[in-house]
Amino acid sequence: MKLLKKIIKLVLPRPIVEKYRELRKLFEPVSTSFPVVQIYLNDDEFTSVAAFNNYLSVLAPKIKSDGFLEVEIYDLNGSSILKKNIKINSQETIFLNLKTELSLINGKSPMGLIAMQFIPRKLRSSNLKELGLLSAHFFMMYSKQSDKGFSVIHPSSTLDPASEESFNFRSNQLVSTDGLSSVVLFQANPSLEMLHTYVRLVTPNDNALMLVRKIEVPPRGVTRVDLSVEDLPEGRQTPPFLRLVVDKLPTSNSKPMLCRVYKDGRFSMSHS
Amino acid sequence: MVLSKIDDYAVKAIHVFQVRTLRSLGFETRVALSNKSDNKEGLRTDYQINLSVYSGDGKEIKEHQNIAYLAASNILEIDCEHWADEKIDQVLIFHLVPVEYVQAGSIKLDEVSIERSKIWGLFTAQDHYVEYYKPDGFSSGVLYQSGAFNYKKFSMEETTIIQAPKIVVGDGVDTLVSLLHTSFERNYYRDAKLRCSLISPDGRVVSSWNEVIKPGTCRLISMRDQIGVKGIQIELKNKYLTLIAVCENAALLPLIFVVNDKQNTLAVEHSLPPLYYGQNITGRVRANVISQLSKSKIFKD
Repeated sequence: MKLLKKIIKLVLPRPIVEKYRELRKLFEPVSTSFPVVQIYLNDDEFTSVAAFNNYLSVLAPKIKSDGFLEVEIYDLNGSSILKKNIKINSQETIFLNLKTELSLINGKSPMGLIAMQFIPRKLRSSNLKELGLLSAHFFMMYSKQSDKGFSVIHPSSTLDPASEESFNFRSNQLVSTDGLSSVVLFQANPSLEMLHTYVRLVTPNDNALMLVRKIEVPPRGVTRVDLSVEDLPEGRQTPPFLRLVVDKLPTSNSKPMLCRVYKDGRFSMSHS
Repeated sequence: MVLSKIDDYAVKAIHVFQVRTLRSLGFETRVALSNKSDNKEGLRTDYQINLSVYSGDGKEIKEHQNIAYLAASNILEIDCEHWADEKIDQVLIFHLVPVEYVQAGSIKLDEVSIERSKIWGLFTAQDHYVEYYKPDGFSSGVLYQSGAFNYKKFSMEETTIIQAPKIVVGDGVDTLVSLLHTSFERNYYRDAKLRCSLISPDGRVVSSWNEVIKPGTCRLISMRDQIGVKGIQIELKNKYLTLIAVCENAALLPLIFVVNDKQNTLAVEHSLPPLYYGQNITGRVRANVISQLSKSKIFKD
């Protein structure tokens, strides 16, 4: 095939080769990133809603941007448990309630990954191609069944198998210990390799170790880590602030979600 | 490698973190500033922290020099309550000034010649954290980066697109859209004009309106009120909506706050810029997108 291409290039006049390239470009589909992923929580405590708006109707409003949202849901061990395609018209938004979706397959999955990819019907539209590599970003909304809090967090990973692991992640958040009961971490592994790592809570700048846990997360899986304030070292004052450090992240930006749980049961959560 | 130098660049605009306070919702504010300049080759620096505090109407700025020192690879907590007004919401800008531009606690020269790659390198080395807290300890925050918006030497992009499929309104629950409007130009008096639309899941425009945001100010727009204006009943069950907004004449900093009045909880999230969705949406492509969007039926009530 390569040889044939070389021969055609040598034999055909340059203007024709260029015209051929133009035509080929015209028939190429839009380029899309690997599916965007985020953690869902679906246990006795938390519920999740995934929200995806047809972003192409905002960024290319001149064209009809209907298409299909491809959704894949994995359980905490990384097994794919649900795949579905949802038709979306221009300007529409899908608010996908995970509890409802998983009850349809009778699946009790307390947490896992949800992956989304949007495939527009007008795959070869020059308006869409002009936007460059497209990524189907969405938001996840988390709430406690007891109404003790609500969080909205955007995904920060895709299922790109080439995304490289990263080391010595230090969160740019500081966690105040005032009124705090525990820090709960949700670590996803969007890669295809098993993740073995340590998560640590340290003091902000002198890095004194306060708590450490070894975790293992299967490929495409999710793990929860509970770090209770009660387990902080005895015999020293509780530091006013803590910082999260993770020895290794499975992909370049797959930092854990950090949930602050307060003594009265309220919570707040964000990416770390 | 071709180095692109910018002349007469404002030192206070080299690396900034812009936040708002949230007294109107009963929350106090603090930030965590990080310095990961040591992750960028040749850019390791310590910072002197200066702070600009805007009055509620944005017309006056109180400058505080050298409020803190942030060494390379360190992180620093600053409680904004030491500097902000107790009664009103204000814009605060933290200026992270590389120490090479500082002498005895003051900036040596207001403007310097600096490599574009250095500004970009320091800006992208880390995000910073703002959180809103209650006296009982509850806090909620978000990490983001905010450059020297509406300063042509930092960026020519002086427009805003907001896509927020995260509007929740229900019994005791409201979503508030926060907008900050600042500039680092010497004479900047432009009001930002923002066109907004709330869209139902099936794509219908529920409400469409315009906002004007004065420079140096922050706004907080209740989506519950916006729906109420249209006479739509707020139900017990949460209603989910999408906010789409466009500003053709200023770069704004949007944040979304979801509040639960009954439980005294708060969620904070930033918006995703268009580059997250389409990798080419910058320069001419971005200008095209803005032009098409502002004329689209999304903003027709």
